Amino acid sequence: MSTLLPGALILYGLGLVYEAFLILRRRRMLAALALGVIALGFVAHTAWLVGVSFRSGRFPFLTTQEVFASLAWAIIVYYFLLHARRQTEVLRLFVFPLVLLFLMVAIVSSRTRPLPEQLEDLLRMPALPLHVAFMMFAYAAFFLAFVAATMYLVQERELKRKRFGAVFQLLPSLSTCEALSSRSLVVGFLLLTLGIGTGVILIRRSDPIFWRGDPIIILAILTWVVYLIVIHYRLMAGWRGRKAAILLILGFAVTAVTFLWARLFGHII
Amino acid sequence: MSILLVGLNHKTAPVELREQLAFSEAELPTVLPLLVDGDILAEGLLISTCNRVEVVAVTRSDVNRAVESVKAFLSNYRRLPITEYAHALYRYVDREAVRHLFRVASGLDSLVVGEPQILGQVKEAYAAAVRAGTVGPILTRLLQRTLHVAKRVRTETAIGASAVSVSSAAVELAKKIFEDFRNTTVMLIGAGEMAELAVQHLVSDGVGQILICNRTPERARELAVRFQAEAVPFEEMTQHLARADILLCSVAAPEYVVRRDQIAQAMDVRRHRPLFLIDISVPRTVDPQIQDLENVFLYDIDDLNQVVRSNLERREREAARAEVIIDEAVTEFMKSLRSLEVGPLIAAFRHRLQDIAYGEFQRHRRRLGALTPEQEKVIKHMLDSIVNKFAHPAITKFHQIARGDSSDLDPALLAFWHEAFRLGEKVESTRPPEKDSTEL
Repeated sequence: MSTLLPGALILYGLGLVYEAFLILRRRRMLAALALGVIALGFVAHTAWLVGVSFRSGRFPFLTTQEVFASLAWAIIVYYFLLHARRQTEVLRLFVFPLVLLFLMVAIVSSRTRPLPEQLEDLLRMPALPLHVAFMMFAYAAFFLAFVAATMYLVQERELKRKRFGAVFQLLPSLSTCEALSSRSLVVGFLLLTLGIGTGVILIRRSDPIFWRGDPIIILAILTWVVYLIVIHYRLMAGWRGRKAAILLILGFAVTAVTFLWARLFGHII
Repeated sequence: MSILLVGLNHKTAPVELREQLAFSEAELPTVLPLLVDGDILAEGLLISTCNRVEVVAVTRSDVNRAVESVKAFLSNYRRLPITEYAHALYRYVDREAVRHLFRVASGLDSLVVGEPQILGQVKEAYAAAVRAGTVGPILTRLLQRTLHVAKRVRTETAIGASAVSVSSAAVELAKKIFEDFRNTTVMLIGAGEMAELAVQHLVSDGVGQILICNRTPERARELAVRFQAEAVPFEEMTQHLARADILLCSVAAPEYVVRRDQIAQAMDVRRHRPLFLIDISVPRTVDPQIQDLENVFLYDIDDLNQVVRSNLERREREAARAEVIIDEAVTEFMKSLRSLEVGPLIAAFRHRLQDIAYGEFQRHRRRLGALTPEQEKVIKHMLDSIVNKFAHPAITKFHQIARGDSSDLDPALLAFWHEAFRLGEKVESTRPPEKDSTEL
């Protein structure tokens, strides 16, 4: 059990290094090997999450360790569901370093967390896993949107500067970056809305007073508003390209900062 | 036996000379059998492109004689005295010939490093020689290896990856902005020869819609018909600017034809979707200030030339990596070639010893009187055993030479063995049939 997470970390790391070698050196040999190693890591990762769930009898999202391991898992699942089919192997070079970082945080961080007793009810509600899944995948989608927006900005700068290095050759076209980020933005926003919706129901069923002023609620609302603004400018006001990408990156920064804040001071997640 | 390559290319001979010695594809079936007479050259093929004329051959005799025969063939067939082109000829033997052919097929010896056509031309040269019946086991093996190596170079290095002409550089850049050309609209301002070339490029890449805007409407209409494009009157250019994702400007005008305010306005209309502006006119006809506008990418002819230059430099760097791949492949091929050479030698050597042993047995057989089948079997077994034990150290040594990568198989050594054991001569014998000749 205790070796599963480090095992997944090592396998992902190996897969990433090999993938980077293939992409940077333009090699095609045994390309399936990288995916195979990553898949093996994913099996270990999933097994760990399942094991933790069985042992504690609940969804793995309470301790710092669980939160980061689950988020990393959601990012991988989201990436392979939505992006792997497109010709964007290079995206993995951006996605997997964060996955590795999250797993490292998970491995070194605490495994226990004293819970207020008000949470006991909440943890038994059948709708809770649904809410958690919505939120996890919303963050995963926002992360992918952020990565794609960053790639857009880098590529845009290269095109403006008219000096083309290895980065330029590596990155996909502006239209691809834009399509990737706006798609993930919309998906993330829908998931976030559903997550908040189920969250509201859960809170009302447990103890509404307990939740008053909890950072997690502020986080959810703030994130939702930020992305609403991003979507508004993108779809309604027709912001495209550079500005839209910058806005998306700012939105993600706000989300990440408030997420950490909620993590430190909130009751849950 | 040696592999020989004799020829001239764009580095050693001017075009006037190259065209005098060139062979057309239609000529090859008649020419190749004249070149490869089976006496001096055992196998041969001819690569003739606008940048090179090269003969690749397997010699039967002395290399110098083979070179003379190739020269004589070229002079006779093209009625060109050797003195006219001797200075431009190069010759490579064995290892160097293999390396040169690998480099040629991989595009390393080309005028534009990494250009892809040469591989197809090498393939055609080989196919023509196969049809003419002038290739044998060695050239077959060599050419298969060559095509394999060239393919490896192409996939494992970026030697052919980046554009090296202005129009292809423009298309390459456009692809870094718009992934898929099907939904993009191209607008031409000015319909000169340059514009026509660029459109051809874009059409072959599947561009969605083409607008042509030209001072002389007849020319615009003519091109519009040819490329199924839409002709736009020059006076209405401004109204149509917002429709274009790629704007190609090549007009002769003393002032800016495309101004900053026009593009700024167009960008508002197209909701700031990226716009790729190419100005290949000299003097420039697109206001360079436009570059400051967000989501607009303006490239003039100097920018494109700069891209081409840096791409060429990149190809040179990739070429260095390709040389490493080729080095490996040459060593590997020479090794496999040696085992190809050593095989028949070993077989001949064993057969010779067996012939002698069985010949002697035959000669003395009568004096032994009647032998039972059992006794005969024992004697034959003994003869085989003696031959094998005697041959074993020499054969092992040959295999070692074939496997080793020290040097090429020494022809003098080969000649020595042939002579010492009279490997070419026939001896009357009752040597058993070939069943164990490949045993070792």
